[in-house]
Amino acid sequence: MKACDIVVIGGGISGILAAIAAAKKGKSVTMLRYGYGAFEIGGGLIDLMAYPIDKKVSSSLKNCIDTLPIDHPYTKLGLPQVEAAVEFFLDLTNEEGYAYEGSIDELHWVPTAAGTMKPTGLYPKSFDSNILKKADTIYLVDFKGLKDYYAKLTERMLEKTLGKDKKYEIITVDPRMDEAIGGRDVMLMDIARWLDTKEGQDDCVKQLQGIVKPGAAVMFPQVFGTIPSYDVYNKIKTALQCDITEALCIPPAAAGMRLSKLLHQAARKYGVKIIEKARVKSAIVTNGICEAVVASGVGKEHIYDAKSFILASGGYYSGGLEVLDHNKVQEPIFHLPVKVMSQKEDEWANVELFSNQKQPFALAGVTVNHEMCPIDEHGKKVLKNVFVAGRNLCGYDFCFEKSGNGVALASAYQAAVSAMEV
Amino acid sequence: MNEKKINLPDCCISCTACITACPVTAATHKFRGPKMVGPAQSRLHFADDEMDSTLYLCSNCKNCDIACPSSVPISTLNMMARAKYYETHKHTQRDAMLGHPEKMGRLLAGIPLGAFFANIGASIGTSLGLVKAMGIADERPLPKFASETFSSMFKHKKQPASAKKVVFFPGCVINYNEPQIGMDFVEVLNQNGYEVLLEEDFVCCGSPLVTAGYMAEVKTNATKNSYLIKQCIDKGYPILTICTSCSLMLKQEYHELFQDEIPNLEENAKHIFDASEFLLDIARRDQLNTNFNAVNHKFAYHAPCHLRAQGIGLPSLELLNLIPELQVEDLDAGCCGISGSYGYKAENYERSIKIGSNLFHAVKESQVDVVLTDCGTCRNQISHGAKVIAKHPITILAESYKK
Repeated sequence: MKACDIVVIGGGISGILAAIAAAKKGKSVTMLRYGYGAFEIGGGLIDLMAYPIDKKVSSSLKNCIDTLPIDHPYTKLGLPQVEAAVEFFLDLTNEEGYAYEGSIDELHWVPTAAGTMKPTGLYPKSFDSNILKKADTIYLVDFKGLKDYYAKLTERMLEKTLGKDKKYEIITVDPRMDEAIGGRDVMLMDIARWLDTKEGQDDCVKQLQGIVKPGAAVMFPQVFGTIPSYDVYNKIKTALQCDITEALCIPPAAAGMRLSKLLHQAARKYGVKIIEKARVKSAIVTNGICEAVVASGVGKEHIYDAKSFILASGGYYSGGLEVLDHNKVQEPIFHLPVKVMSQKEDEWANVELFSNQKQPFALAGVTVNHEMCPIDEHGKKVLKNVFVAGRNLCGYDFCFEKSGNGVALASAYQAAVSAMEV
Repeated sequence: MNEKKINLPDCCISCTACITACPVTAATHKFRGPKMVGPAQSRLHFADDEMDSTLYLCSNCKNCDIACPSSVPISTLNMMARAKYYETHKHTQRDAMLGHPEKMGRLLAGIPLGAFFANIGASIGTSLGLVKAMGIADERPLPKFASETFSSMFKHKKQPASAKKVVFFPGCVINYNEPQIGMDFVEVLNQNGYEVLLEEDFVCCGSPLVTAGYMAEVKTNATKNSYLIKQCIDKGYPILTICTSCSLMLKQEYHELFQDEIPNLEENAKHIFDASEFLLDIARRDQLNTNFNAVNHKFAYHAPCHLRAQGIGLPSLELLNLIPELQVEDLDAGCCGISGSYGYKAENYERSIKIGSNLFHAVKESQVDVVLTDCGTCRNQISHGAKVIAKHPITILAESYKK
């Protein structure tokens, strides 16, 4: 039997995007995944970049890419390649029937459950704070039994953010989930699944129609279904004759589930072979070329060979980077060169959790060149047919910058391009 | 993360991936979800003797384990909590029966025409309402017992002798309910130059006992099977199964449950294979007999959750793709909802069908008349829920060789 062209290690957003990008171009791709990645935590938005240096000064990626440090993945990729990756993503979501919007030119602000506005890059159109700014009346929709969402808090904070001159009103919809109350309680995911059904949509609309006056703005928590489609959004918007938006909430995030389904559906369409629960432990390397990777379960090892490999195994949480004693960080599969910003323990982290500086530990990661090929301290390629994407990379603090999924997308796209050329 | 830290509830970082993946959580709002019932509750055992009041809803389908990025064996933590509960609480007669399919099989195999009368008894019992009264769903047919067991059929089978040998672990479904699939397996192995041996002393792998909470019996069975498996391995024979719940149990769950108590589990696991996994390994070495006759038919394939949890991909699907003219679509529509005995319980029937509804819909969309899947209870659920014929992929391989 023939080996495949490309093996992708990791099934988070960078892994699956790299797999799709290569498979879409006709390559045979096997994706080894251990666990489901952070889709449901990530909230379904593609944050490209918001705070390059200072938490108080936001900037679009286009405006700041030239000012980023030389280690930053975006600096290595360069503007045209990042733009190509964004175009790939917008096209992909459009083809799959759930088109994202946005660009690298400007920030888009989405409302959050805390009543604040958060900057992002690419987003489903159901996240839009502009409608709140424009409206005189804002309805905040809450759901009976829903935990993790406090409409009163949202209302109070929105008054601060958007001003007290607007009229705010909270409406509580009954999703008829009494059996959940006192058990796990109602989660946003449950409401989103209720709205996946026609009965749920009709019931919700009916409960709102009597109260909501046309022409207002209506803010929902993140509940417009778990399926990558705007059907729920369009149906509610049309029925209420209002502008509507979802707010970012705590996980599990319905929009993250939508994005996960969309990418899974695309991977399937383009023939990506997904091996679940395959934990890659090591690689077989000869003369600077990776021949195969070894995935192991209890007792047994499974060998996956390919022409090229994309490493997208994530950061500290998913085991793509491991912290050893004395602040040493290692990439455990290929043992690629990892850059650590400081060797001293007291410089490893800022003691202030919300400090206005990037966290040194967050900047640690694998060093790569513009092809996303791992390099040593002299700039020499370490493995010629291995490319790295996502949180494995050094030089960016996704949490501080709000650049996580953006770097994942851009590096994944480049890694796929590079892997195809091997 | 070092090896020792793996498998502890404290490895759970509460990322919620398991909750979004759990088919039971999606089907009922009562269930508190794998994260809360498994790892979170495990940490509270010192404080609370009672099991979580919604633990009974867990089907042990293992989608939480598949979703978990942190190696937490969530479903096994659930099953250990359930077993702990039954240390001090009595099982119902229904649970005792569903937990022991092997006992029933052995009993009937010992009686002339036992299977015949048991099947009639089951249908009469259903129409008289006795099945329902026992707490067993009467909306679906009970698994039929075969008139002859696999081990009896196997005795009459003439195989070409070979130096290459494998030992077959048939499991209860193949031995008592669907022995012909076992014979198809023997045919396929013979076609590839292997002689199949049967170890008559193997007992039930213990999978149904785990979900019913009979952990002491699981350990007895695991100890016995592991000892026998080690003996086969010492002779150089790999162990093959064609039931994905049996193979998951033998390879992985024995290790999760008893790694410090039963010897050789990790070493044994190296030599235990799902039959398709074994055949695909041969194919990768270009040693598979590929003299397949064309099968001009379109099938759909359903990957059992207990196969997906093994980290070996979908080997049957890849083998089927080697057969000329055969078309097969991977349904990829999640859990079928039966989860062994789960969907046979009266109180779970509706939920079981609700969980499977995605899959039934996908079957309908695919417009096939035959669905292929490696798990016996999945086959029962699919033929009941999607109104199609369900077969084991090995049967198609055998037919393709024989034609």
